[in-house]
Amino acid sequence: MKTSLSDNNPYDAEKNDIAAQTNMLKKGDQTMRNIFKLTVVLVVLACVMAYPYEARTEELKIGVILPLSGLMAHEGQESLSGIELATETLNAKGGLLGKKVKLIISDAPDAKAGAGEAEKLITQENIKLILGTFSSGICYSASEVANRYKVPYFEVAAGIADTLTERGLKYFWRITPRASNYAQVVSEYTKEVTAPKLGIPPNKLRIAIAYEDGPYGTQTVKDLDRIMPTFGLTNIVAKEAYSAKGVDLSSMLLKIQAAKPDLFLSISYAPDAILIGRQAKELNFNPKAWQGFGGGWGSPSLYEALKNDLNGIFSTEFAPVHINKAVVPGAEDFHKRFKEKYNRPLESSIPQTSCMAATVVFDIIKRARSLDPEDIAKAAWKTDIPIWTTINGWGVKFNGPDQPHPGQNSRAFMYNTQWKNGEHRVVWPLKAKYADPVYPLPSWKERVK
Amino acid sequence: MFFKTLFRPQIYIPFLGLTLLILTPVLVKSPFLLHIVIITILYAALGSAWNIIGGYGGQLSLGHTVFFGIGAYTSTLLYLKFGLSPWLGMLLGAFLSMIVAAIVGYPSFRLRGPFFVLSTIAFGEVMHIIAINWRDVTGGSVGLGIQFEPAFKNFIFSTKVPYAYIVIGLLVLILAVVTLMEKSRMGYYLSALRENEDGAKVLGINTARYKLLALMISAFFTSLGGTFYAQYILFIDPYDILTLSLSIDMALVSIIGGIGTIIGPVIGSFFMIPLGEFLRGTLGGAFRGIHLIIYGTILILVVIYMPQGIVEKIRKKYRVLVSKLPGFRPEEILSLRMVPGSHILQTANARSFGEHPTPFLLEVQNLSKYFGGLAAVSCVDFRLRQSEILGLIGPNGAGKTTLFNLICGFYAPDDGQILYKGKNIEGFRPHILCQKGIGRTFQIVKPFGNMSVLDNVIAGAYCRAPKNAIARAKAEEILKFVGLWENRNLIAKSLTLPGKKRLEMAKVLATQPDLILLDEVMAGLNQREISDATVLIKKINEEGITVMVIEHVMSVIMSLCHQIIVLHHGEKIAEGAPEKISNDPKVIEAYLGEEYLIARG
Amino acid sequence: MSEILIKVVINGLLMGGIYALISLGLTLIFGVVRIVNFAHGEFLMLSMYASYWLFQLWGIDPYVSVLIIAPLFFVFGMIVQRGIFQPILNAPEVSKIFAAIGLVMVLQNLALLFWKGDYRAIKTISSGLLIGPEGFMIGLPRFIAFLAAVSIMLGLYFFIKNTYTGKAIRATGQDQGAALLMGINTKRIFLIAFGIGSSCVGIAGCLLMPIYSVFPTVGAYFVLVAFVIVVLGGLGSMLGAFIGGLIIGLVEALSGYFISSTYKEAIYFIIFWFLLIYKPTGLFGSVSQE
Repeated sequence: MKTSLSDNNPYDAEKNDIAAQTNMLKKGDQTMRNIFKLTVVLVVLACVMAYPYEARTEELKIGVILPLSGLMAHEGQESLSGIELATETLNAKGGLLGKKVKLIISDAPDAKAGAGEAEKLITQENIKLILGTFSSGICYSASEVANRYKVPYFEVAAGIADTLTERGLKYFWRITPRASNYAQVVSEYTKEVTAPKLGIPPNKLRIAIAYEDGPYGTQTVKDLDRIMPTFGLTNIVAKEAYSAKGVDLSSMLLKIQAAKPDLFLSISYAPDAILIGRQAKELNFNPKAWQGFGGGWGSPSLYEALKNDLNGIFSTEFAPVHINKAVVPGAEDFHKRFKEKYNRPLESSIPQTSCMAATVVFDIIKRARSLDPEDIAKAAWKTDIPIWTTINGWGVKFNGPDQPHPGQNSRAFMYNTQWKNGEHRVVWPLKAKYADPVYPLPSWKERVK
Repeated sequence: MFFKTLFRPQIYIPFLGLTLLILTPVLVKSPFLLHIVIITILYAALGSAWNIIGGYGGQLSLGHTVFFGIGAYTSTLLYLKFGLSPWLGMLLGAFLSMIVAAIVGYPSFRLRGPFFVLSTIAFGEVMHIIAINWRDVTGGSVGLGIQFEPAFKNFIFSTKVPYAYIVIGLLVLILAVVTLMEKSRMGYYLSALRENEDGAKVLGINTARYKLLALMISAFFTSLGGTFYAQYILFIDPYDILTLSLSIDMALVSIIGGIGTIIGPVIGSFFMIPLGEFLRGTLGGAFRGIHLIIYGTILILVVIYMPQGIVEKIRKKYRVLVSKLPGFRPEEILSLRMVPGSHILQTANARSFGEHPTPFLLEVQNLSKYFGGLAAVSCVDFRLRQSEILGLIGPNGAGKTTLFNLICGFYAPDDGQILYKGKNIEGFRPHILCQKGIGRTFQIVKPFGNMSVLDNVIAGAYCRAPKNAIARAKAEEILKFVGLWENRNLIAKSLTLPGKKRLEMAKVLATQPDLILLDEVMAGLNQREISDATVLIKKINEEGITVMVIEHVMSVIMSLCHQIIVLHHGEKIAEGAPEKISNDPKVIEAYLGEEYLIARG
Repeated sequence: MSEILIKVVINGLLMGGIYALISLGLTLIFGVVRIVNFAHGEFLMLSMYASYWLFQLWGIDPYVSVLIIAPLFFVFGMIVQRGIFQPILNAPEVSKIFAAIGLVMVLQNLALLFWKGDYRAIKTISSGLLIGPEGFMIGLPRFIAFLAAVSIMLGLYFFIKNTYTGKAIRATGQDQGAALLMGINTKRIFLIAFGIGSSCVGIAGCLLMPIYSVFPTVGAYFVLVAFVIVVLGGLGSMLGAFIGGLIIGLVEALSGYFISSTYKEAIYFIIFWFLLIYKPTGLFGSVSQE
């Protein structure tokens, strides 16, 4: 499947207006823009109230469930932007099965709403296929409902919990990697690159782990516990859980500092990653290598907060920007298109991932020639996209129904990247390497240079 | 008899509502709409359960998520680990919740107002953190999923209809309990302690016990809701079911609908939950957060402009509607038959006094109470014969009210003792003393403001009445006795000051005391009202009740009292018959100052 | 070992300073106006955004933006008190609490609507700077926040002790009814107390911007601990709020070091719960306990 995205992405009327208006405003004047948005909101609100929505028959409706309000609103919106881009590209090329694709978007801020929205899409909107969900919890309940109705459900964002594919649902596929890939790529990289570069045998390498106590952190640590020993990484000197809502992590960092780790692993969301970065600097905590996990450690707000204090820190990513162009040619093009449409640079790897995944789903529908669940399932199982052909490098081949984790894309993987002056440069897999990694982690004073 | 009552609109309208509710799952074909119906009814049930302690008991808990969580986790864990049917797990969880409620509630109920609220929030947060970190048991923050294996014994169903009926059953059960409770001793007691806790204590109400009981019942039902939720969604984690926002939502539906009313939480839930879903459905996707902005605005507007909730606004219209429907007869007819009986005030007196050899009803020996370094009451001795009226006078700050508070058990004495009917009553709490026959009024009146005058007195009458009908009959007689019969259906806070003072007396009389302590019942009354009150006190005394009065109006004291005690700076400076007191130089000095005495020669 | 322990204590105290900074405004509002203002956290969030935008749009350093934001939030606080809490002054507790909760929903989601859920942080001149002796360096922004907490505490303390308005605030906090009888316009005092409280949290928001990132729910991270501190220190007591802040900061740091960071909150909530029940007047006796 070729995924070169066309430059032809017509704005719809309303967005055109916003874009035109905002161009007139001072660049970066977010507040004004938002006040304007509010006015638009109120007008649209009135319209929504006044005119009941009317479906046009020549459209192919696809459901989208994402957390668009609540705590994960930002990530949900990022996921949506990627799906929207993929849809625009598709529609510009003539759509699917002779129809334009129309996304029916549902906001599900929590697991309870996930079940409700899935129910609503299927029974009210007569939706035959759903994309989602970013959050594992929401995905869990929404896909459970969809499966009961035999409605195919594709995870195209970061619903990464291993449990999702452990259930063996018949109509559930995940294009994105599962959580244990985090542990896999970090363990592999540590053994293959970090340990040799530091000149320490893997079983002597002193490793300290700090992880947030939510589902993301605890699950990843569980995986690390399981996977690290298989790579000979057994010398764990500290393992500390903390709440991502905490506002002071100095005591935890001091405890870890006292354990004198060579390698520091940090599994965090953005605000706690910022806090760890700042407090580590204050405490002059300077391990030989610092491996962050995606989510927090790759986020643009982290860079806003820490700038070049980040230099030398590793971060695992779904879809990095600074990658060997020869290996992953589509990435740069995507970034350009994203900037054109949303009038801001790409801030995270989420849109790129969801765009790639949505495109794959459209391809499956095309091959299935209908939205019938059995046809979709057949086409899905047959999907065979080689690695390095999509916009973020992954291939697609789902685990069969009799394999472990049925429906999981076995060709999805994580990248490892290193921060350098605001870029996160791919260092792993070696084939896609953008630059050679820097070892050891420079001291805080040297980093800024 | 019962059959006939079915044709009254007061009865058949709720029945119609119930029928409609029961038909909903059959009528609503769309599973999504049914999902909303189920969630709405679940919140109505949770709100009603919360309302028992939060509304009727007035104890604003924002920690109910704990009971919900205990229900959900207990049944789910027992099911996942031991294969125990969630039906059983649900009951076990509910009992566990009751136990937790008892353990945590007992100390927490010492707190009032915002401090209680904060303590419940703290409790919820601690449980949230425990659920996150106790990974081996709770699955930690990753949560617990339940396999979809429909079977009755698994409490899992392939369609929504059974779920709908289960949750309707839960709601009806809770509403039935609340309805029964409202018109029983417990309902009156909870309302009384909500309106004024000290006022409730002196009516013999063991406020701590009833608050705890209400919390336990509330926890029980909340916990059932938790199990239902887990079995319905089939996935639980600490972020969905052990959060402050869930506690807030439970309380919120009650507050919007009408706190402390049967139907309030139901109305609140049927208004807010579908509205929230609708707003999120139409606006949430496009404009994040706007539905919560609207939701929050509605909440603010309701608490400012409709502090009693939606129910208050529609209640009048509902009454008008009911009165126009066929079969209507006024409420009075439905009320219970009066129980005949005279000398209703005397019964307690006859009951227990004869057993004791001492001729004195009350003996105070060497009583002292210090606040910091200040002696509010210092070495006071006196004895009070049965059926006497004892006057307690003295300038402001002399320690009169403190003396009352000591006798009634509000304060513990630092020295000395109080004998009542020959027995030391040290350490008895106010409600026990009331049950033993000591009643009191407060200088600053403590009516149960939002209850009717009749209900105020009924709350007192339950102290001796074994049954609802008897309590009501006694209350009605006492209202006639004190002259408040015409005002019996008024809301207590709308009474005038003389009315409120009279109500204070009525409430105490309803507890049938042997000894009644009246704290400035005449203050603020005009001449006519004072003479009315004097007559009333004499009448009370004639019924055989011993009276102790604090009063500043000297003419009243002189005409009323058999004995008078004068307190000054916490010390007894004079004691004796009225004429003796009025000529005592020490008393005149205390009241009017040394100069007056000298001037008079 | 002991060197690390000293560091733990220093960092605990610095954190305590930040907590104190946020709690000083709340102790006025909770202690005098008797509003359980859960929206205090959202006030903090708004002031952080205000400071963020002043920096992003006009390059005004957060420490300078204090001069703009403090008066702005004084007015904002008065508007909130006048518009929302004054009409329900005599309403039952539950109305006040839920009005505050409604306000939380509105403010949080307004922020979400305008500025999205992004975590926004800035790097100012001060945000990476360290001061102090080698080995015991501390972040300059934390130190400044600590100093600010001390000076606001002292300023408010003397204001309340020595000025007429201050005395009126204190009197109103102790006994509203009596204050009214003494000819104090309690409604006006409530407005002023609410305004000063909001102004304090406005300042806190500016001083926190070089340390933390801002996002619509950031207030929730701070508000509960602020209530713990206010009760711990005694309602309306400035010194109490300050020392309460330090205590909680220390408890957090020590329990984070010796037990685990994930239990920190649980530990101070349990301490709070026992304190409430066995010494409800707070550690320093409150000026205005019921």
